[in-house]
Amino acid sequence: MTAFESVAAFHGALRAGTTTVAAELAAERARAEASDAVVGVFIARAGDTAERAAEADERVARGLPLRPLEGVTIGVKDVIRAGLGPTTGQSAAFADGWGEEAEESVATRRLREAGAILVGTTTTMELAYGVPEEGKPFPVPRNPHDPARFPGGSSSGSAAGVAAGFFRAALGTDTGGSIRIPSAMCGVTGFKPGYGAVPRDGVMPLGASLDHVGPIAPTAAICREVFEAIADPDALARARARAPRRAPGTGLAGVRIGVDRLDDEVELIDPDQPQRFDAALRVLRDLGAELIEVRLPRYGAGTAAALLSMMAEASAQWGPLRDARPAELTQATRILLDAGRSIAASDYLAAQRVRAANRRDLAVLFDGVDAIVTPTCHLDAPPMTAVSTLAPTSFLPSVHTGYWSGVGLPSLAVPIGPARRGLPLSLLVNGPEGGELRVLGIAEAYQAAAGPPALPVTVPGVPPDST
Amino acid sequence: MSEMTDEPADAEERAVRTLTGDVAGLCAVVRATAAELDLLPSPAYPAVLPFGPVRGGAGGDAGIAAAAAPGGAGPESIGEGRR
Repeated sequence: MTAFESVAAFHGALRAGTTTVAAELAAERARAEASDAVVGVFIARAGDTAERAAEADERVARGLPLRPLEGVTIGVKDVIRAGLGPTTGQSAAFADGWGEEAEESVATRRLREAGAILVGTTTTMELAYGVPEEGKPFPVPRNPHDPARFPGGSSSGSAAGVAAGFFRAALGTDTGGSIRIPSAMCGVTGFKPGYGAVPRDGVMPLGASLDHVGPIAPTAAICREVFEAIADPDALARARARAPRRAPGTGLAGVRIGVDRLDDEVELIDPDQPQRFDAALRVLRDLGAELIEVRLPRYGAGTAAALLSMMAEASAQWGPLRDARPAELTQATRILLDAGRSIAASDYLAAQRVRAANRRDLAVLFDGVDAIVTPTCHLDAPPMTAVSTLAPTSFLPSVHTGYWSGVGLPSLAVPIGPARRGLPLSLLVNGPEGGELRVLGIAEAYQAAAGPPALPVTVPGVPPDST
Repeated sequence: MSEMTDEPADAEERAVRTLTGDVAGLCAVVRATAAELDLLPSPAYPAVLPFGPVRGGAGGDAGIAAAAAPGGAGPESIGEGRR
């Protein structure tokens, strides 16, 4: 398959005749055939992709206008009803499907209307919450850079599939970081829009005040193109109104970016993380951005408030299922749901007050800066053996996504190169309310300056792509 | 026999107790922070939910607009140490 920085570039190549949708689809299928047994991306594969590709190529051949995502292959996390068979949430409890009485999700319907080809459903943590467990009737997702490493969760298959070149983009969901964490660990770009910007109709709930739907792709440009296709029209209009207008070639001149390294919030830092983070800041500065040191208000309490909110809301959502059919859930999910029930209503409400206060204070902070960057994680992907079903939150202390989930603001993970083990590190770019296109624009400028989009990862132990 | 069959359940119960202890610590942090917020001068009734009402599907702009409404004092912690 060919790496393109954007759907626009892909469409340019289609019109120029240098590739076809069918050829790209065949290359992606070959990659999946070769290595999906190792990385565990797909739960179900669509049966009509060849026909959809032929239709797209016919539009190209006839010179018809191409829809925004014409011919773009997309994997869909299996908590989103996508019309591709039962939506399982990777749980034996929903082997026959969750929400079968409901219609296809708004997000996937909009993707189809935009011309995208939905190629299959992708693996997740059970109910977008637990951790992988061997011996269940679902593939265990693994990191394409090193299958002995965790791919991050819970949109694991979506991020791993983009990294491995099984599809050009993916949909994920994000409650405490479930788009951005696997994107960071798999070395791809993952975008959590602001709360409510993308409809959640037809999406399996986890934490009602925290759940988001968003794209994962090789580049921020493709994330933007997918976001523009699935966003609510009002939210998109608001984001467009708040996006800075810059002339081509002016980089990030005049853009003010707040920087919080968060080094004092973690116990462990990968030896290469500070260097990679500083190198990314230099790229932003060289593009003309003004970098300003900031401190996020109430970082620790905000992160705690988001995690408590997720756990309490998840227990309220799935506690009855846990009681009725415990054997159908994995051990990690039961542990999380049981612990979430210990949160008093008064503490849940205190958490909401902290979230509201942080949101209010961040609005003031964003009066002085256009975006705020932090590390996405201070460590690279942990070994699979370190992600225990008996300690399902063990990898969270190095992760900085939850704070931004709690305040519902746009947040994007962008890869910034590998650590010495060859595993990816990531920068988190965050924006104000309605700042989706501002955040995406900064990441697009960064990636354009940092180099061409990376080719898909060749999964170790799998023959290199001969296409 | 019974020892072997009980072991996984025991481990799961211990894991729940450990995580519940961690959760209690987080609750204490949040309670302390919320209590400090209560001490601040507030011109409006305190905001409770961060985004206002949440409907089953999309969150919607109404909720965000409600959340953005003033609920208290200004940027009391910006520039100060973390908690």
